[in-house]
Amino acid sequence: MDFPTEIIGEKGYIRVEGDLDSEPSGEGLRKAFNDIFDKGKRTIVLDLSGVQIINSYGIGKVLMCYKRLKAEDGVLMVKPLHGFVKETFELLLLDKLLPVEE
Amino acid sequence: MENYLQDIQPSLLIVDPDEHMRFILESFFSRVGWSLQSWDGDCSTNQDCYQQKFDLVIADAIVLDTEYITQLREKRESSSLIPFVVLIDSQTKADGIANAEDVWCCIDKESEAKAIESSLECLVTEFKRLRTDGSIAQRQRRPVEASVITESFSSKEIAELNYDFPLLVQLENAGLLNLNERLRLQLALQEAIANSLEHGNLELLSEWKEVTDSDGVDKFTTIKKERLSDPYYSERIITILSDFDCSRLLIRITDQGKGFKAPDVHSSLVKERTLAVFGRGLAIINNAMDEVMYALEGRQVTLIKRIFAQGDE
Repeated sequence: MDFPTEIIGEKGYIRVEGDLDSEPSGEGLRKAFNDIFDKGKRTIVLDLSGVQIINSYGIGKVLMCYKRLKAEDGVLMVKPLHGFVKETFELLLLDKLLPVEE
Repeated sequence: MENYLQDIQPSLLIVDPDEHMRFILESFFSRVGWSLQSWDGDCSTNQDCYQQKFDLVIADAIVLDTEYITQLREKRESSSLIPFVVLIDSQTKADGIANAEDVWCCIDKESEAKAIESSLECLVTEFKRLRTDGSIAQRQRRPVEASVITESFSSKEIAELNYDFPLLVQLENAGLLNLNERLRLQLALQEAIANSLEHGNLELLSEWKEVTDSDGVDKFTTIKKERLSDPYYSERIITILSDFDCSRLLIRITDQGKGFKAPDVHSSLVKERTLAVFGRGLAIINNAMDEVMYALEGRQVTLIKRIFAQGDE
């Protein structure tokens, strides 16, 4: 599973599509993240607007991205969240951890 | 918590052999964001929509006595439950075919397009009002018989299967759960299965999620793959019992691992709690269920959710 990436200025963007709840989607996120990270970008924005379902596995992958950036003084951001994904982020307090790019 | 359930758009079936009228209906309902399916009324085609769920049916009066529409109305058990809107003209108006009990309202096809759109706007407003006050959801409800389903899978099978709990789909079809409630429960139960598989049968440790190679691949994922290929772990069984009785949904998941001790996930520090390598699945489970109980030294978890029909609480 490949997720589209884009670099605009100093920021890298990953658009996650489909459900983030399985190994293929987790691998897709890891590859997309590596693609931007390896280009030296340390501010990365996840667009999860195309995700309907996210589970603890998917959240774990998002946090892995967070930790890799944090280790190099980087920032992981998210686009505004909606529905089930927003509910899960709030439940697990990720909304306190990841700033929103408006 | 945000209530986004009200944003779910209704689904509509349009049954009309008249292309012009179908065009008007499709344009209007697409514009207001409804999901819709059209059918020309020919019984030899598109019978599969008989199996689908619709919130509203708009049908031309001349197809109301066709076999398909009769089946659809019978399938709804009490046909007044899913609103029927009938398209009439001077001929069918005279026939009185649209006067059946389950016909919600009629729209005159011979009116001008603007007048038809105005009628549709009134219909959508009224439909939303009925939906908001629960009238439509209440009327869709059908009784669910008490049922027990027991299934067993090997670790390898359950890892490859996206088990979707057929009982939840039955409850949704019966109007006792809406789509988002069903998805929330399904996700929580899949988390419970993942726990039984990973920490039970495969004996994986949460700490391994923290150990990654230079490419970002974690030890947990690597060892999980290895153990799913090792018959010692992969042939262990997971048994899932699903039971719905009156208002209580009970799911019991039993594995053949060495036991599981539920960790304390109540750290007061937000950051510490969020970044912990364990507990996220448990938080999702605890949030969705009313009771979570462990037995057999953690090899069995029982999850209970009380499901009340609207007005029963």
